[in-house]
Amino acid sequence: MEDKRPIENDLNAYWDSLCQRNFDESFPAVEAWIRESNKTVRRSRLERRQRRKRARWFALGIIPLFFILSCTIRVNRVEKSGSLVNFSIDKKEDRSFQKLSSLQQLFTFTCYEFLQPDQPTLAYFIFFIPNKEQEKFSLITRELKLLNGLQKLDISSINYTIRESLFLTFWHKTLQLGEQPMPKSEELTRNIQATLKDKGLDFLSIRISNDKDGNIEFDATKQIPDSLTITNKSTLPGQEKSNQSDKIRNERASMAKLQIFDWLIGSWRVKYVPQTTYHHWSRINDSLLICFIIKYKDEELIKMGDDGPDISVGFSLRYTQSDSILLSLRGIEWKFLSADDKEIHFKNDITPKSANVKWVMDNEKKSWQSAISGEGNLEVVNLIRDNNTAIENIVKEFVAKNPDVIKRS
Amino acid sequence: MQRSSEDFIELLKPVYNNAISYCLALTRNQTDAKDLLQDSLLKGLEKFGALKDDKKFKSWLFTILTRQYYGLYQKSLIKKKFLNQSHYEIAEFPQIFEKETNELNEKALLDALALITEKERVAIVLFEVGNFSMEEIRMIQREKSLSAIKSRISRTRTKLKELILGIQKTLTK
Repeated sequence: MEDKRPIENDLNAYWDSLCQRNFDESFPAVEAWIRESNKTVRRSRLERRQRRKRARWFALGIIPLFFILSCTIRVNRVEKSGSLVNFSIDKKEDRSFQKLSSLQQLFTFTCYEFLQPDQPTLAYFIFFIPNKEQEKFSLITRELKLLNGLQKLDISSINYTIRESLFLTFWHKTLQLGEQPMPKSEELTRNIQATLKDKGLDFLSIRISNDKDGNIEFDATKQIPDSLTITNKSTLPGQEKSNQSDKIRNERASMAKLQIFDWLIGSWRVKYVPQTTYHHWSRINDSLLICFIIKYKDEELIKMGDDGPDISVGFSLRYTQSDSILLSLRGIEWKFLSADDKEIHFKNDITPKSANVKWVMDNEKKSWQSAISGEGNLEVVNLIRDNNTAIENIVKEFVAKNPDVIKRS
Repeated sequence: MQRSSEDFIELLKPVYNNAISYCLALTRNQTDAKDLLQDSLLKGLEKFGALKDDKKFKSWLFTILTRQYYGLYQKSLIKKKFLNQSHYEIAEFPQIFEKETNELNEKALLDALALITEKERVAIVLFEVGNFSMEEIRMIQREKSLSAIKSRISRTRTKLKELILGIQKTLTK
């Protein structure tokens, strides 16, 4: 109890023991120290102020100098321009070809098919996806890996060198601001050719063009002017051996190519015309689609005989030996140019009045518009889906009666 | 604004003993207390020109002492090294402690102070040794709420009582 009492009653005693200590004796010495130190502090403060002033001037001079230098000194940096994908599929895998065709439509990219003479059972494909479409690239490759009969999937990065100032490198690379300079076509061609050479595919010829969006397109105009695919050079050894496989390949390729027009098949009613008119697209064989035009004299659809509709052949779509798609109408031919989910373009260099054909589809492909345009000429036809068995029968009957129509097409 | 060292000495004189006791209570040993006082006086001399109101010298000096204490005893080694480094070539600080104290109460108190947190220690020592008001302590400790200071001091007093009791029991055994 004796120990506890002073704490509980008087904690102040403890504080007093500390506070009542007297250090006055040391004050004169501290006083002298303060006087002495104050001189040093003042001197040092003055020096520091001068140093700071000098540093300010130095910074004023060095920062613009550094900026000028960083804008002047040029550095090289290597950036990835995209990925080159090379794969092969067993030719027997029809479903894989169909799936590949759907993938091309879905992701709007073009696969270029070629053959290797020593491997006639395989169809080889190559395509390039720019680096900015990496997400699309990974989705495509994921889907490709699931293809049946996939023999090899080889992905190579294609790089390009950017030469720019140190400042711009900092701006583009570190701060991720501004637009990255695009690779020059020649450099990219060189880099892709080098990669192809490394892969043993240097017989492939490519042409690269940068479009507005910086996309890179392949074509083989050097080889075959009307072709959109890369093909083997004729000087390749053992080409004769591959002729048979080429035929098989062409049939398969034509199927795959014409599949992008599958949505056309069936009947379409022509809108905004006084006479009831139908367009009926039929697949005649793997490499030919024909559009029959059925014109009614009056409103009755089923009526046949003397009062029956007039039938004629309109457009035809043909997959040619030279690996391209041709659209024909009244003896004029258009080459297939491009296609996506919404538009299909054909081009004709011979008849300027009908130089272009453009087909524009709605999202669900329930209606579309065909426009033939050229010098002072525009022909537009609007069509809406109207599947009608009567029309189909009329066409079948017409084809049966007039087999020459198909031969002519 | 330039101010003479004489003004500084004049203002320091009345709070000199308090300042040393404050340093001793915070650091719990005479060597560290001397270092803390030396660094704080130097800092004070450096910033003295900025002191507008002489009446506020005490709280101004104790704020410097507290900041220096926090700085010197920061856990960050880099900060500790940086703050310990003196900018000046200065004369040696005079001896302020003649000898180690043998006072049992003081020893018990210092031992108990070692067992509480830094914030609690600063608050209670400012209150008991510096005789500062709660509001002044709030300002020195840069706290937003006054009630936080009040409860901190009250809690620390209770804690100290218990700790001193325990220490005394150990000493008597």
